[in-house]
Formats: sequence, structure tokens, C-alpha cells
Amino acid sequence: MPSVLDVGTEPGLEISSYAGCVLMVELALRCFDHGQQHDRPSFWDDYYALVKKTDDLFVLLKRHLNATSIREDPVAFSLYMNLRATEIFFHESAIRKSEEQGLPPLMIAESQRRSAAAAFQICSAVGLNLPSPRKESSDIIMLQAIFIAWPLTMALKALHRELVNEGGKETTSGVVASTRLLFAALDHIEESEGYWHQSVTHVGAKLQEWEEKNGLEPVAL
Amino acid sequence: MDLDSTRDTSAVIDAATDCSFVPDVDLFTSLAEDVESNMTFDWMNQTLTTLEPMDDLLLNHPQKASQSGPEEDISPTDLSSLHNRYFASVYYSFPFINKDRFMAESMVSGGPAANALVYAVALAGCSHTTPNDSERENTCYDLARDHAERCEREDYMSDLDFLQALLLIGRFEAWSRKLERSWLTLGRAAMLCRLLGLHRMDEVSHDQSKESGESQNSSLFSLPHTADPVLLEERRRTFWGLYILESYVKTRSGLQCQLGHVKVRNVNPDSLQELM
Repeated sequence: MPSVLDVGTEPGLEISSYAGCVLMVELALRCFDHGQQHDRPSFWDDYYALVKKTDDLFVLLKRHLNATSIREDPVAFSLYMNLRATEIFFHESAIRKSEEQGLPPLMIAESQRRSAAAAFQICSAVGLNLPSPRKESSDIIMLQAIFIAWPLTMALKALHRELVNEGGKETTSGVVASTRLLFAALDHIEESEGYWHQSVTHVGAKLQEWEEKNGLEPVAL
Repeated sequence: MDLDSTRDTSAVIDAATDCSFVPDVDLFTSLAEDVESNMTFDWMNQTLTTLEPMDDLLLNHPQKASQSGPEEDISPTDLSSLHNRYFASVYYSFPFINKDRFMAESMVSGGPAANALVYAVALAGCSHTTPNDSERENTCYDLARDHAERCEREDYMSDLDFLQALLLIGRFEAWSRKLERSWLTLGRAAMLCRLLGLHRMDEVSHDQSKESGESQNSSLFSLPHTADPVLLEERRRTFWGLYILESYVKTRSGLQCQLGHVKVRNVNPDSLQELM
């Protein structure tokens, strides 16, 4: 029986951002299943199948996953955020599995790089939709709050590792700025003691530690 | 597309428009059943006056106790402005209701399903307001749920409005971090979808489902047959909207989707191209 994810990617096939969300949800559920079945022998086959499926979806949904659509279509914004969060989710599963199996550090580093890249992309999408007094009637971040809290926290968790590892000064500067922006978005949609905030308490603590050590020096995105 | 359409539900839907709100006070069997019954009870021999205090207890529904019901707390102007707010912004975050159809229906006095949707859309229109409009939000929530409850009690379930109202109520509950309540509400919506056969509207083949052991939707419930692509699209979007919401609640709460993951995978992928 075919899955809805088996929708083709041939040129000319156009589907809406709403239908894209259905595909994204199906992909996310598969990723969760994959993450939970960590001990299966087919872990890596399934992982690369998910990577391929995600790439296919980005091709299929290309017209919704650009800056203009993300800024103007709340559903496209949510779609982009969650697709990137799904990427983080399965890359993080791969990192854990690689560490368990003692795979070469380069393989782990590649998954970490991909996870961090997806986190920065989430941050960029948030940056496109920052609330402003001029756009009060179309606060996309608030409108999509229910669907974007998870991507925000996934991105924060991915960046936490970068903060802990502290690469070069420029890299860390970008990580800190992105982390601040993601927290600002999370603060915008949920009170500080809320469920999603609780899930990233350790990230907040690390950011605070970094700021105490380095001062509140300006950092660039 | 093969919607179960043998039963004409238009009469049911039309009848809904003629009903006024009657609180559920039918705690015992109906009068008609009593007439046909041969059973007698000791208290039936008592004079009616001895039962009058009981009438007060049973017939004075809590909602009738106050001079003005919650419906009167929301004026038609307020409702209209909340609907406009919903369709001006909130709608675009999760678009599954046909605005033209909704507006046309909301202009006339509707049955419980239409009323449930009128208040559920107003409820969604209350969200994301600054300052938070919690008083009107609570009123709309109560009224939307009351009317949705009536749909079940009074057999007005074969109505897309009822399903859409449940989605908006469930979305609000999830947003308000009442996840278990949201799960229950969306579970009702999922079971209603099954009753109405919405999960089959784009299915590859009915024969394949028969093979999988699921019985056909031979129940008394179905939506009226239509070839109107706009209405079909609205039904399709409503179904997938439920799928998205249920999946969200599942990931947050760990509670299983009532819609059934496997059945969704039976859907023809080509149907997504029809999802505009």
C-alpha cells in the first residue's frame, strides 16, 4: 500500500503548502518511529531513506520554501520550520547511534554539521518573520505558535552543542546571536515557565554562562 | 472519489434549522415510551403536586438560572467582528473552512452544527488578540462546546460544520495546553470522520480496504453526495487538518491518534495533488 509520502517528484507536479504540511507530518511521524526503534538492524538504511525523502520533499515543495513564501504564507513558514526540525531530529538520532557504535569522528561531525545547519536555517526563517508594530495584524510567529514551538526548541538543542563545543570566535558569535533570537521567538509565544521553555532550560543556562563569561558583547547573525 | 451517498441527509439538516435550544433534561424514558410500556411504579399513584418540587429540580437547567444566557453575552456585531478577524488573519494559519459557505450559513439561523461552528470560528477569532480577550473567548468556547454536544445528543452529526467546530475547539484546547481535553475532542472528530467516511473519500480502492478487514461505511451517517469541487476540497482539507492536529497532540502527549496512522497511509498519494 503506498504512503502519501510516495507522491512523485516529477517536474510539473505542484501541490499546495497545506498538502505539503500533510507530507511533512507524515515524514515527522516516520522520523519519530525511526528514533524510537534505535536498536533495529535497519537503522542506517532507514536513516538514509529519510534523508532522501526529505531532500525529495524540499524539491517537491520548492515553491513554498523560499523567503517570499515563508514571509507571506503562514502555512509555508510552519512547513519550512518543521521540515528543518525533522532534519535535526534524524541527524541527532544518527549522532547518538554513531557514538554508540564507535563510528569514525568524521561521520559524527558530518551529522553535527547538518544538524547545526538546519538550526541556522530555522533561525533565518524566524528572522524573516520577526514581529513588528507595523505588522501587528499579521504576527505570523504568534499565529503559528502551536506548530513552531517544536522547531524552535529543536534548533536551540542543536545549537547548544555548538555553544558547548565553542568553535572559532566568529562561529560562536553566530551561535550566540541565533540562540538569542530563537529564545526571543520562544518568549514571544510562551511564558517562561511553559512546557517548551522547560525543555530547553539547559540551553538557557549555557547561554547565560557564556554571557557572564564574555559579557553582553554585540554579536552578529 | 466515492462518497457514500445513498442516504439523503438534507431533510435532517433542514430540520436542524427549525429547532430551538432545549437543555438536556430527559433523564428518564420519554413519554412516548412510557405510553407503550406496561410497567407501573409506586410513585405513579401519587398526586402530581407531590412531584412539583422535583420539577423545579429537574427542569431548571443551570443555564436557565440566570436572566441572560451566554449567547446574549455575544452580540451579533461582536460575532461578526470575530468572524472577520478570523478570516482576516487566523484563517491563513490553518485554512480548511470555506469562507463563502460559512458566511452564507452564518447569516441565517442555523441548527446546532452551524451554531457550533459559528462560535468555534468566533473562538478562533478571539485568539492572538492584544490584550487577551479571555472573557469573550471563554463564552465562545462554552457555547461552541454546548452546541457541539447538542449535535450528538440530537443526532445532527452528519454535518461538516460539526466536524469543523470540533477541530477548532480541539485546536484551541491544544493551544491552551489542555492536551488531554484536546485529545478527547479530536478523538471525537476522528471517530466522526470515520462515521462520515471522510477517510475514504480519496481512497485507492474500496476492495483493498475490504481485504484489510475494515467494514464499509454502511452506517446511517454520511455527508450529502456532491460533485462540487469546492465542497469536496473543503471536506478533504478538514480531514487532513484533523490529521495534522491529531499528530501534533500525539507528539506532545504520547497519546495515540484516533484517526489511525495506518489508514492514512492507505490514501492515494495522487489525491494530494487535488488538495489545493
